[in-house]
Amino acid sequence: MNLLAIVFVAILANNIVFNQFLGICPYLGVSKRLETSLGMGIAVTFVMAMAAIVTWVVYNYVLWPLHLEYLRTIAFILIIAGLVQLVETILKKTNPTLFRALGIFLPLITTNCTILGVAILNIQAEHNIIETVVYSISVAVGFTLALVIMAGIRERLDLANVSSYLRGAAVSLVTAGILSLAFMGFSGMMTL
Amino acid sequence: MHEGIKMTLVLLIIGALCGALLATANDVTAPIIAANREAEFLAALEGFFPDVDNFEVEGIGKEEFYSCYNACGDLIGVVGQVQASGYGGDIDYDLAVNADGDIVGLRISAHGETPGIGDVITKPDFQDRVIGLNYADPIEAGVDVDAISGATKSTGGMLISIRRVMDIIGEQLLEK
Amino acid sequence: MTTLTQEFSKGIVQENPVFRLVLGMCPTLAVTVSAMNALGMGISVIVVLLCSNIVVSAVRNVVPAKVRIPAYIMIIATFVTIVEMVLSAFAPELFDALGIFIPLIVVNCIILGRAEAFARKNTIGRSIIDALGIGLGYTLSLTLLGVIRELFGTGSILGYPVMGTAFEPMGVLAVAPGAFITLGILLGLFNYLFKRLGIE
Repeated sequence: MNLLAIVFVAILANNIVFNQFLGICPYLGVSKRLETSLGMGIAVTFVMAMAAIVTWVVYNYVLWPLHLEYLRTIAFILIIAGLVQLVETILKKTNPTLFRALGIFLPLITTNCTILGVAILNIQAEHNIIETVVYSISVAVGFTLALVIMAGIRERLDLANVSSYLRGAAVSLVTAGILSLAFMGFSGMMTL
Repeated sequence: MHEGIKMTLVLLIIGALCGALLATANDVTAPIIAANREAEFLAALEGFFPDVDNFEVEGIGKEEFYSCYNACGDLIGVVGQVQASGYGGDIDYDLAVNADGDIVGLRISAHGETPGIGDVITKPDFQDRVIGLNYADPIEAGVDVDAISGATKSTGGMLISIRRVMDIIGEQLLEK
Repeated sequence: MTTLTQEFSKGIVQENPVFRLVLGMCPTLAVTVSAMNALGMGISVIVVLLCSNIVVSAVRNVVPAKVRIPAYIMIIATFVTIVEMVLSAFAPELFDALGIFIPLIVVNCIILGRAEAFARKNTIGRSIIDALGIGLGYTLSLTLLGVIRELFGTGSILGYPVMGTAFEPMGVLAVAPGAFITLGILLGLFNYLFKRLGIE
């Protein structure tokens, strides 16, 4: 039940893009076409789940017992950067097809604030390892959902007659605002 | 190979310097942070019970309860650092109850309620409706406290939580 | 060779991080509920950007190009953590209000972007000017958004009520949708302004 609530809240009620304001840069940058949005979403889901597990283990079994909590930020970002590099190398060697599909998104993920954000949120919320995995994957699914919805809208928006001053980021932000208003309807339906 | 060693060395040196810098900064700021948090909470405690002299902490579930004693060692009340479910997530608050089981104070420390709607719970109007209620009162929306229209989820969530906290304080801490 | 004044002012106008480059959007949207939070975030970014630009510029001839990114990330993360500690010790209210967005300054594209695009190729002096210009441009943009959202969302500026009692606050501006819509409209407005002034 509790895990179900985590899934619901992370995907819909507290959607990472529309409610938590994380991952706005890839949201504005990559949501131009449906396929790329989906590719980015899958890459983020994969890295986020791995990063969350590794950072959780490092925090709870290394940093916390040694009273080195203040190294959290620096340790987490290095882990994430290393992990992205690792995934890139392994994928290149073992599965070139998948690498061609996801490869271009991987370098972008290091500076995607959702990954570091979720790693820190897991620690702050004192999630156990199962909650950490469920929460991280749910957040990533929510991120993908936001990207895919936006891509669908943008593909049509390109054909619409939008003032040249509003084209691009400006109109995307206003659209995101309206979507965010819709997602607000989910809040309060289920709480943790 | 020579290049590889140099790269590793440079990274190690930078890492060590960063670590040392952070350790120093932590040594300087950690005691100040701890003192700040304690002073803030003590000030809140004294706000609820001006003649508090010392207190005992007891953790029940994920929440903490502070039994406050005056200089003679008599129990004057209990302050709970507790949580309620609101419309926009958790609401963290302190609830102060005196030895007779009356609510004497309510302080919302963190909430995610909608500004202008759900945040009425932080306003004097809502707080006045709660303060003065007794452990023996039902404390129920629509019975002895009116929920505030438009914010039934926020105020209702608070009232359910206050009832629960009052049960814990009344049965486990004041009876002793 | 650009003059120092040009180096400074480019960050505020031509290369304004928010309205021209559309960078560092997450905190721009998240912390601008009030002018005070926006200002606090802006100043934190200035401090981190200034320190990281200085150090990156100072070590630019020492760090091998291949490992520069992890080196920069470590340097930036260190300063971010120091800012986090200082805020927590001396401005606990601001620290609580900004929350997770302080550690997330590490992944703010502006900081790593300036290290990569400017500080590693320029002298310490120029890097300082660059950091101050870009940082100030970011702070001004954040504060503008914060003032607008606070003024119409709650009817006050920096916590002081200014709109009078007849004003009904537009609560939507203080929550998530308001952030997106206000920034979107401002972005369009600035696009128009820049075009009229002939700045490309």
